[in-house]
Amino acid sequence: MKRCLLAAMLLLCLCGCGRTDRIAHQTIVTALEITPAEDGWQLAVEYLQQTPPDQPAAYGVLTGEGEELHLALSAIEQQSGRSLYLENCRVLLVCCPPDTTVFRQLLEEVDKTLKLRPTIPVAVIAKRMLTPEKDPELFVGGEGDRFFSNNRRMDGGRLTLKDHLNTLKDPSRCTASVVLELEEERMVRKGTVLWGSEQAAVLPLQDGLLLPLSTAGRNSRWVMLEKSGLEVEIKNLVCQVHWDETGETFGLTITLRCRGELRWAREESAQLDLGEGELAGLLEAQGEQLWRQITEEKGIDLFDTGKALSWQKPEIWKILEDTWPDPLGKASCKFVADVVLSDPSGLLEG
Amino acid sequence: MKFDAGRCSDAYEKLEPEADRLLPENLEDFLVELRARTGNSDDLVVQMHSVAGCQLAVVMFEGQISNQQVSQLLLGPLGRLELPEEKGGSQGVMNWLRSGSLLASDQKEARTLDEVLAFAMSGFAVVVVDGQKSAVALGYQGFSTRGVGEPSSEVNLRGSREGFCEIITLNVALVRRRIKSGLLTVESLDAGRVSRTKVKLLYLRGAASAGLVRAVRERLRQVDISVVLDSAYLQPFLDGGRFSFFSGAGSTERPDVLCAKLAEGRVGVLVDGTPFALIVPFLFAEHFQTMDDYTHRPYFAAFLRLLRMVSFIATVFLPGYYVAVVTYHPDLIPDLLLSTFVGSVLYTPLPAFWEAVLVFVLYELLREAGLRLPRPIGHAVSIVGGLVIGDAAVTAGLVGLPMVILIALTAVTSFVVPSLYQPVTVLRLLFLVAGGTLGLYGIYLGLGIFLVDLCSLQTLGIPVTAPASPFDRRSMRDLFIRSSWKKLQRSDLRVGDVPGAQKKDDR
Amino acid sequence: MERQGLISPFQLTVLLFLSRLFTIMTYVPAMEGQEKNGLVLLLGLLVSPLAQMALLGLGLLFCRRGRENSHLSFSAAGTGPLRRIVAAGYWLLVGAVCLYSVVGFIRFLAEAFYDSRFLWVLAATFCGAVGFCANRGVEALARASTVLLALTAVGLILLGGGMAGTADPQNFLMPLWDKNLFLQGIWQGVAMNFELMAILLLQSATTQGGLRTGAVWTLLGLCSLLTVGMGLGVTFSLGYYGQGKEYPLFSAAQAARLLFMERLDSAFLGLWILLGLVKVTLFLWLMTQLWGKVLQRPVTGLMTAVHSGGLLAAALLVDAFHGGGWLTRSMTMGWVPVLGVFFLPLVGFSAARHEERKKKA
Repeated sequence: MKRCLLAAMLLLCLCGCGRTDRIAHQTIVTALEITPAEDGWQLAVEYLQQTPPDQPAAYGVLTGEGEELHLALSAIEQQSGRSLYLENCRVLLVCCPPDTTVFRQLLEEVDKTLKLRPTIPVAVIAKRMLTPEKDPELFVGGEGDRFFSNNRRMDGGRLTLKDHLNTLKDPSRCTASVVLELEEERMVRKGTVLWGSEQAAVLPLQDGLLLPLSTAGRNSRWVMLEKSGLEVEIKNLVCQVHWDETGETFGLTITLRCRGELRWAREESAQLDLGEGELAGLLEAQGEQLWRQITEEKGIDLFDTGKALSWQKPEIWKILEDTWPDPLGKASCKFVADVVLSDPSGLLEG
Repeated sequence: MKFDAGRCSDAYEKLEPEADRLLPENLEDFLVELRARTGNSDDLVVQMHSVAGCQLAVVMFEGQISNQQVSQLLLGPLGRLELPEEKGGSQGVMNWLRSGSLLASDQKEARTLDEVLAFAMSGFAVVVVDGQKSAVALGYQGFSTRGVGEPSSEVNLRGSREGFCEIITLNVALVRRRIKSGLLTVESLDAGRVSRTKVKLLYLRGAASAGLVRAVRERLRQVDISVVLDSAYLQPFLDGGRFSFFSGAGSTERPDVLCAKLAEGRVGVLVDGTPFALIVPFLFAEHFQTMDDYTHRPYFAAFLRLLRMVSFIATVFLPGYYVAVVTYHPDLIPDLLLSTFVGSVLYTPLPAFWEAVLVFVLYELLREAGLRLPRPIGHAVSIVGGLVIGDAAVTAGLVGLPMVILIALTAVTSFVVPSLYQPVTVLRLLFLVAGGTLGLYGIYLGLGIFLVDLCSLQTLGIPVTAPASPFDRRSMRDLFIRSSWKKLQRSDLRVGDVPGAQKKDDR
Repeated sequence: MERQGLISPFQLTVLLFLSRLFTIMTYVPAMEGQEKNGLVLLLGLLVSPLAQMALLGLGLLFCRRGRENSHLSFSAAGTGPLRRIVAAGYWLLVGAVCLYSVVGFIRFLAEAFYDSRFLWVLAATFCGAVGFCANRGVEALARASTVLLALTAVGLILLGGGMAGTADPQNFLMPLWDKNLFLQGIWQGVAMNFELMAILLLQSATTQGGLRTGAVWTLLGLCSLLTVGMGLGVTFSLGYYGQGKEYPLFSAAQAARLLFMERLDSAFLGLWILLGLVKVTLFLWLMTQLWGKVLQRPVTGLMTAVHSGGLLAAALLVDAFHGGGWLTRSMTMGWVPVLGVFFLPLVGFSAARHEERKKKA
């Protein structure tokens, strides 16, 4: 009886023998680009071409369209004659207008239909990049790989699918993504998109502007100080919320206590002291300006004050949760900056 | 010549031993029966002598005895023997042979024809006196032996260079020299209906339980093979009834290893004609222990033990894991290696699974050929196999380079634990099938089945996976690591005391 | 080799722990309450061992009164009809647990790793493996579980470390006290603990006649802590992303990263398969033993094979009719532990008392 069981199991195992060349019938996708269109979806994939092992890796691009996402995917599979294997996808490029609802729905559809890994980086792009005419060497498989995996200055690819969906569904948080564009075969930043719970805002690059480049989890911000040629990641941003129970509104005191680390220095002779002082001044002077611009006009909770309120006053947050942008825009705000910068990578002299 | 099955079967029927008979008192009758029993073999030597007024015959086999010793120690004194009349005759001669002389250090009596033949074939000169019911066997062994040399299958860096040989008495002596204690007990048995091979049980009274010894003895008595030529013939009888990849009886070529195992309460089985002794019971964890572990420093010994365990895991699971990942889970391949691995799979004619099986079979062919060929040619086989076939196959695109590297690594790791080579070879293939057809699911499921099956094994009431499972904290000091001798000396580890061992009387 | 003897209390504890761990991996209740004070639910789960122990205590009390007439003792002799009815009742309950576990096992594999067209291959090989292992006996399984405990610990450390690496305090939601949710958490801890029934059924399987109180407390407490830990880990690691995920722990494993290891979902797969094998093997073995009690015959390999085949057929039927969700909802209602730990022992206890009174009369 035991032998029969063992024999049966072995036979069952052998049923899978026909799948032993499974990888030959699959196209390994290394990058995926999604563009929502009026009549459906436009998809483009960068894939690993089947080259002999002694030759360098080569990549190709395929595009497809469809009313539904899975139909667009099927169109690409029909072109290649093989099914698409998405587990090795290294980046998801999203060409999406600055609309939180569209962006969230796009990512939810991708998560549900394509079942990509939650750790796949998502990069927002201004224009479509993956086209068959372009040189695939620029993208993930070639030089682009350096961009997405190693270059922390170009931080557009750092936020993952999980991070985006997490914050998009959380009414108390805001996500920022760097917008990228391919100009003359070079990846450049065009600005930042802030995704609020309902609204989105685009902030172009400007010199000296306190620019939240991206939110990378654990409440951190990237700030660019073009004048001094420094780029700083601000961590541990603390926001204290004071609820004024006598009035209809509440007051906010945003104390920006930051521990920053230098990420990039343009000039060798840049000074850290100047950077610290400049950053503190920027945070205080421009912080409120940015606050009004983003919060009042767009209703985006730039510094995750809703999260702070949900921790400090959960019973009040329960009431305000669904209409948060409205009371947020009416709140008074005071900024206090306390910045300490460090140079762990030794970017500066002395 | 036409094959006649009838005559052939008749010949096989005669292979069965005839019933034993008591020695006839008449010398002539004895000689007739002797020649009939031996079929008039040419190597049978029978010397007739007349001593002190009676006839006697000295029965020997050519090549088994030392002619010089027989001449000097037996025939000479016999020829000079003069007994008084009242003490003469066959009885007088018999008494003189038994106790009145010192003819040989090893002296026994034979009462049956089979015993006479058994002694004579073991290098004894058997003196049969006319009119007597028994014969005296005198040990004058002079056959050529290999002698005590370095064990070929178990090499150590430090420690004894002596290994067992084919002579069972020498082997017992090697053990006795190392355990100079009256507690060391040696019991003799015969195995093989026709071969009557000498088997000796060795154990330390007080360490080995009486139930274990009794069980081993009874199992060996149940052996009903006609010819026993090696200890491996007896090994399955000590395992038990159920099929298993792993044997519950281990083997060793080293007397120091056997002594160490005897001290832990095990029973050793020596078989005449083979240098491999059996150790019963043999736990699974002991495959990863060597004598060197106890001569090296503890930290290095621990490192080596862990290395062996990792090697075992690697050699069993690595090929299947690689095939599973490449075929079903390429997402686990690092990005830098992705194109190399995928290319190596796609640009070879066979899928990864069949490629692995092919290279695996090729390797086993080369290994077996190298083992059977004479040594000078064996080197050539290695060169042909490694350089020509391996390199040429990769260059021709028949197999992928990662696969060749993988199988080579697997082969090397399989030799780290040579005692497990047989089960490892088959298990590796099974996991290859599991991984190649079901992916990582097959590997993990196979691992679970393997663990449960291994844990269900027992040898003579002692779980094979002890002391890891059932867990014994005290034994951990000599399992994955080897504690220092200062700790090991605190208490002796006994195999009969491991958790899960059945009561002594139940075995 | 020869047949084995009984197992030690430590081995039984490890076996039940691994079995319970599989259920915890299958069903992480915190994600249901992610938006609605999920942490209050976890608090209830933390306190749940008290309720579980109370229920188990009642069951043990019913079983141990008149121990010689215990309907649950495998060594008990006798062919009374009530004893067979009780055994049949347990057979059904244990079978339900087996079926639920197998369906959950294969559905996850078909969804996360393999093509759903080959679900029958997964189911058949798994049921075959379970049948093979059950045929080896509970002693072999208990010994193997000691080794598997070490592997599980390594896997959990990897997963825990990986989830800690991706945990974000921003995902923390300050809960508001909700009494109903708290009680729901307590009840869920009881409802999903099928091993309470196994503790009763395996009383006579250990060398020392059942588990000690301390071992049971350790088992229940550790399992609750792990459930809460996993729930917290998933919450902090996934946040709102985890809502709506059918296997949130797997999603957390996919998102986890530890040092140079970026793909920890294969570690999850290994845990899933090994723990699933332990759980279903244990309950299938119980099922065959109970069937032997029903028929009053010794358990044979054929019986085990038939049970294994029946389990396979039932699992494929449930999947064919898309009954997985219904089965999960049904099992979370808690009727299995209530019937198995309270009701059936009560029946046995009442019958034993009735017999005693008749004898006295």
